[in-house]
Amino acid sequence: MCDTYNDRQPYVTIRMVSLSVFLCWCCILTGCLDPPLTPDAPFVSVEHGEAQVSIELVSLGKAGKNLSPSEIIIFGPYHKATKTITPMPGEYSYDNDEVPSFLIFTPHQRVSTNVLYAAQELVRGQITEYDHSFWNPDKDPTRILICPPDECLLPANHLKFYVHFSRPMRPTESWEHFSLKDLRTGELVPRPFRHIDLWDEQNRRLTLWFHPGRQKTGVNLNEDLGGILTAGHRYLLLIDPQWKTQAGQPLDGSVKKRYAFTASNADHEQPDPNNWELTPPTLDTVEPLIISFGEMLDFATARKVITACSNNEEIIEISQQADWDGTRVKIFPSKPWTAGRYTLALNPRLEDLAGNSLERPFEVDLSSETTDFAKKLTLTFEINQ
Amino acid sequence: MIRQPSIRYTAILFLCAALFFTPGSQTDLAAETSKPILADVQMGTVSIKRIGRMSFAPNGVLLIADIGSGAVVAIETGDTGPVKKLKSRVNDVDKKIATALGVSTADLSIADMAVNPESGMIYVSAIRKTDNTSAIITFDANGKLTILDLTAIRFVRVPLPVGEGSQIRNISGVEYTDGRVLAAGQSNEEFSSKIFSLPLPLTHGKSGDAFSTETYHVAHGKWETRAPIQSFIPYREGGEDYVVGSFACTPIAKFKVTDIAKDSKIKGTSVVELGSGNRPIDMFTYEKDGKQWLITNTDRFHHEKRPLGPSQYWGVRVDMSYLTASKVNADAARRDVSKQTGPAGIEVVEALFYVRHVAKLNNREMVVLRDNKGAMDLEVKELP
Repeated sequence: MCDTYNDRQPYVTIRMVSLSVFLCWCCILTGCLDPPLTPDAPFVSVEHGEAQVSIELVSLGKAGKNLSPSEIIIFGPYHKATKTITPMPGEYSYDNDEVPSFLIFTPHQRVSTNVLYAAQELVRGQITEYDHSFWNPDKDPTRILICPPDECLLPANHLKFYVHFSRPMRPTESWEHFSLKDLRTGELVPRPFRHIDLWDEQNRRLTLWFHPGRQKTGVNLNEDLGGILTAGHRYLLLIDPQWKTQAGQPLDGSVKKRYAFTASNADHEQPDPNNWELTPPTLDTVEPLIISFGEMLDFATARKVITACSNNEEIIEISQQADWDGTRVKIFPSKPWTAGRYTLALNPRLEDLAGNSLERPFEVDLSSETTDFAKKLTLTFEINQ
Repeated sequence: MIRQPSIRYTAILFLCAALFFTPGSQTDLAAETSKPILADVQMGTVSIKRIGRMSFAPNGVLLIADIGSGAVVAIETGDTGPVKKLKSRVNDVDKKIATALGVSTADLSIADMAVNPESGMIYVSAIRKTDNTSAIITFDANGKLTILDLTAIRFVRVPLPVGEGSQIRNISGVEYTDGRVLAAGQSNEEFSSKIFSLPLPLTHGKSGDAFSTETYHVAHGKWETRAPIQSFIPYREGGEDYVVGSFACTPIAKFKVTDIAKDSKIKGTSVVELGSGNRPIDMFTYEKDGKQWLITNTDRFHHEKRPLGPSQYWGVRVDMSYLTASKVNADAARRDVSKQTGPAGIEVVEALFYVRHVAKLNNREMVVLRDNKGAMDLEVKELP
């Protein structure tokens, strides 16, 4: 798309205008308004990292006649907030030595894919940005994984989803891109999500919360409207296909797959390590110890369930890997297991899908006589010779 | 950018503050400069990964929540007065900011607005969605827009501590109070909300002394849960420092600041209930006729089905004496949702309909960023 304007043929103007019209339509269709593509703005093309910038001389009028090329056009890294360009060194040339139509600038250095560049025509100040990711979008659709996985049975007081994207997303007002449909009633559930943007550092994992005021017993919204989910109903979590990745690419076909789940009765019980099943590893291997929870737990805290592992007071270095559905975690040693009696310290913050942790239930009934809610926080297992 | 106020200038500032800012229960910035605010100040480009809430500390120090990196950034704006308030309404603020940042309004997200009480200058934090760039835009008394140059500025960055391997991914408020800076934050894995107490001076790169505490909330006196704080202000009552916070589920509650200690858990006491289905946005207090008032604006969840007024954005003022009321939690005062006012001391503020952000200018006026049917306006309005 970007290499059509470097051959300096006589019909280049027609091609450029056609290209500009085409790109304008692309921008309209994708909802992207930049870079500006007026015919007399600087045009930037890049092929295999080598950039060329050109400007139609006739568009400059008389003002451009007595200027040197470097007074007409510059190109380099662009600081958009201050609209400043750091000019790159390069060579100036014309498309035709006798009757030039275009001034062309070719920088000496190749451009980087992760830097925003811009060309500026200095006579009127018009700026054309060059964003590699915009012009060279990866054609593969953005992949989306939602945790817990679809077709699960989720408690009616379920709290949150982890939505993983294979590309960084635009992270603001993320809740507006989701909706929840009750398949029993056929209606969209009104405002089910908490208005908060909770992303990982790369803007690739979103924590999407149901509105807490409706999921917590005794809170005003819960009392006025009831919970978001009704036990026995089946739901679809829908994602707006027009939501854009950070590079400006709409999700489009990525969201065609239906994410469905069914609501079960609300869960007010804490996870209980007494009910977990341990599958000990084999001596002298790095096979994982497998802990099966017997229920779906919160994926993010399940993968941090062990805070320390020791064998007769010797600290063992481990790594943890939780299943997507949060039903199991695998504990891998950094060195082969040796014989002995192992002790695992558990993270009291480990939660189930409704926010009940090892430490305490998500909601505490203050009229209850129970005050100590903590479950046991250690597990042991043995590996024999 | 960096101007050191002269002694005479500072004296005039204090005199102005004494004349115009009656000592109130909320922190009065100009009166509280006893401790240095920043230490190990850096000079250069301050990188803000995703900008959020903002507020002012004394001497033109702007406190910024950097949500993207889970840190509080403080910058010396050099904007220390004198007070020149916005003269007339600025229309189409969002369009003007979007144009200045080179995008359309669809690709702009306005995060917050703060007003420097020492100068009247209005600061808007915004994100350009196309490349996730954070920007701070100022509006002076003439409504002139300027993009704050973040490439040559004095600043400190204080990362909020990581707890149990779960980093803070949202900062719902950052506020100066005498002796410390308070921040409220939430992780992206746990429901809990933490209050961080950052001692003064805020020291670049130093978060070791930050104390965090989990907030719990008692709903209707029966159920207790961890609760995310939506907005908060520091508040002083009977010689004690408090945090007055509003929760995502609306009740206004208070905590003692002295209860904030490392990894402790504190319980809020509900003092006012504004009615269900409202998400509080901003809060501040002011004094009028010898009485303290709390202003808060909210986004109404129920607007489509049960509108309270012409807009989902509305605001209320609450007599601060409710904060010292003996009736709390289940017995806390509840706004009468069927009326514009009532019970006594809880009143809907007409000027706050359509208002997305509000900030105090002085005890008589506030600055509002209003959603005027799709376009944002900036205006100074009288406090009720």
